[in-house]
Amino acid sequence: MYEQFPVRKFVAPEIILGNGSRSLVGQYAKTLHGRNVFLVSDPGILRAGWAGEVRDELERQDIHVVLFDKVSPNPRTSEVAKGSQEYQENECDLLVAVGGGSPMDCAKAIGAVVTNRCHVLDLEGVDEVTVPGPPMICVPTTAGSSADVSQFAIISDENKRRKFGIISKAMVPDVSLIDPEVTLTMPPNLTAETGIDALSHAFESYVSNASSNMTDMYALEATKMIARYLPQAYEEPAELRFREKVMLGSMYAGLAFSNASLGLVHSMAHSLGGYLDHSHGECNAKLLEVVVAFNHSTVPERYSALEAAMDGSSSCTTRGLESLRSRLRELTDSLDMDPGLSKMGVREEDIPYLTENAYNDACHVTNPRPAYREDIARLFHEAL
Amino acid sequence: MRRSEEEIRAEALRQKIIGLGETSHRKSYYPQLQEQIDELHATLKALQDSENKYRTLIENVNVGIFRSDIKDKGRLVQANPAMCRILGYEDERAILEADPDEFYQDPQDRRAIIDELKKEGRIKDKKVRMRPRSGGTIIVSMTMTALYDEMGDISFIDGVIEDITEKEMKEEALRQANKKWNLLSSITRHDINNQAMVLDGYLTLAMERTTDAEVRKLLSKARSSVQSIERHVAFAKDYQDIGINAPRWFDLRESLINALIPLDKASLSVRLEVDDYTIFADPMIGKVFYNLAQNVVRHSKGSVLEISTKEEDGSLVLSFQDNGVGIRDKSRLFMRSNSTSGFGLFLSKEILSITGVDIRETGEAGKGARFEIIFAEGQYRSPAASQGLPKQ
Repeated sequence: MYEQFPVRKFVAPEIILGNGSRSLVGQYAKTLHGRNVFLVSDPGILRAGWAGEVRDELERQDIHVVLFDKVSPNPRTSEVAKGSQEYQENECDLLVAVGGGSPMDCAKAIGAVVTNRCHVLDLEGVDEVTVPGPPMICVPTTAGSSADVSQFAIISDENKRRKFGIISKAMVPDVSLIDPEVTLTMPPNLTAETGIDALSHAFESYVSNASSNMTDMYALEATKMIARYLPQAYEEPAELRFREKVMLGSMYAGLAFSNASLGLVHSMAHSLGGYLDHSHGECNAKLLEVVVAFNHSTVPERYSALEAAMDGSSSCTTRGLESLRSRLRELTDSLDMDPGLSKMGVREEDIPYLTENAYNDACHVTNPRPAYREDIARLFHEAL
Repeated sequence: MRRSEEEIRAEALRQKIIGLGETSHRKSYYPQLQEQIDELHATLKALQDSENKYRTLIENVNVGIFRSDIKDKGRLVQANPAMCRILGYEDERAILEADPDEFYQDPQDRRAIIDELKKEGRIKDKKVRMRPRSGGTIIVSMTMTALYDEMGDISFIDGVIEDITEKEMKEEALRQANKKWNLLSSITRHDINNQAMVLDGYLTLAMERTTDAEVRKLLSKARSSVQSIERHVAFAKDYQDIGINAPRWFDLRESLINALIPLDKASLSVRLEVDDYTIFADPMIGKVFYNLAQNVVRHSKGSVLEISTKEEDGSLVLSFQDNGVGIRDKSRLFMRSNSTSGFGLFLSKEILSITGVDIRETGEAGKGARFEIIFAEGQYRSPAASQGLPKQ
């Protein structure tokens, strides 16, 4: 099943990493010939001051800025439509996203809708973006989604209460300014949720049946850093050195999952998030353990490697599923996260609908163990 | 079976995510983008071809085409090769550097033209005397249109000039030849009339002196011949004036009223029911109207003449309806032999035909004569369109 040296592609944006890298946004906007920037953010980031700082930086370079902050935590098709309309009305020529996964995914979808002159629902699936969007710069403010380096954009179809993915190499942003400083304002619960999202990226890409040598390296390194530093960043939010490590871990996980894709955790989390409008990180946290249990027998040695990475060692002695489960629970406990979907408000009768949407999600095609509707339904039950 | 189909679908999706297939492209290379660029190239090429087409046309025509910048003392900003040739400049660069006053024989003409353009916005077929760089005088026909800026001021003038010097010279020669011919013809007519009058006098005297009935009869025939000669001479006088002066636009009602002034109003009452039309005709058109009215008294023996207008199938019909006996034999109407016997219709038809206007007789014998003059489209202007025309 696992090929030692498969032929694989690796796509990444131009990455500028380090404290203060956000101040280069004006310079990069100019490099990309932006004269009229469409700045996508959300009200929280605006309050934290990061969007304003980026706007000032752009205006210092005599670049006109149109601010769009009508983005919900799970960005909706109507917000994408509104954004693309405003982009065109203002004749913008460059996208800058400042925020977590929501503004970044929304901005990516806006760009694709603008150039493809279609409804965002028409872009659902893999390689459905026929014309690349306008140039795009991301300044991520969470250490988790890694939408700034990935080929994914996840949008909520609010009418059907589901999420769908736009997956295309054209969705990879042009420039990512990864600046750990901007994660200092994240409240602890958001730090925990986004951090667990990053860990899920690392886990799922490492066991993905599309993984490669390069993605493996990033996935393991990400796992190591997140497992070690996420609890510390959670405990001491103002400590930049922990933030830096978690941010780096998140970026590694992003590069891994963008190229190796994900698995069942994300298919189920998308379904859940679309239905209940809960935070993506929280959904992941509740599903990771049950999916690991489902997949474990298919790729036990891979999970052993992940567990070893979590412990910071490189020994790959198989310790078994239970050891890994308890290691994961230990981590979520340290982040004060409660397992159990029922606490999120999921009821038995919701499971068929959740199952159908999760089954139709493209993420689990790379899950190491093929999952069918009955498997997914059973896993939802287990996670209640 | 169902599962295996789903497995195939999942595997296809997985391959797409791995992205080694043809549908996976980065921003830097996209076939669709290339298509758009190719389309743009094709459009630019078509635009270039179209521009070349018009450029060749403008460069090859025999009329001068130019644009002048009124805000830069009227200096030319564009001129085609014909423009340079007409004004004697070697190329466009040379003519663009020239002071536009130098183009005119009388620089006052230029100011007058600009004043007129400011007022009218457009000038058509204006004859201007210009001075080519090599010296001498040329006559050009000039048509110009003013272009305005956002403030509504004239910014540029686009114009076309045609060298009509040769044409003008030929026309002048023709005018001179005509003038000589008219002079000769008028002197000759005068002399013939004098001699005819003398001859008529002698014939009258001879008739008085003889009692021989046979001789008197012969003398009477000779007098008739003399009178016929006088009529021929009179016809020749009228005929020579046709087409001498250029046709122009006339106010129809005014022309009719002026033409009918010499009529004996005691024997003929005229009812005029014509709308405000203007007509394009030879300046002798009044003669036609007079003749038609005169015929009512002389030949149709009517006492009332009704003149009216009516538009029919895009034409204007001007009718002369009388209440006389009408015309029984229409076969020889408008023929030359008839004109000498007094109808004058041949002459009328000739005058009208200069501007292509038609005439016909549609009356019913016994119920009066009805002459209809038909002005086709372009030969008349309706009341609405005539408004604002300068009085002719």
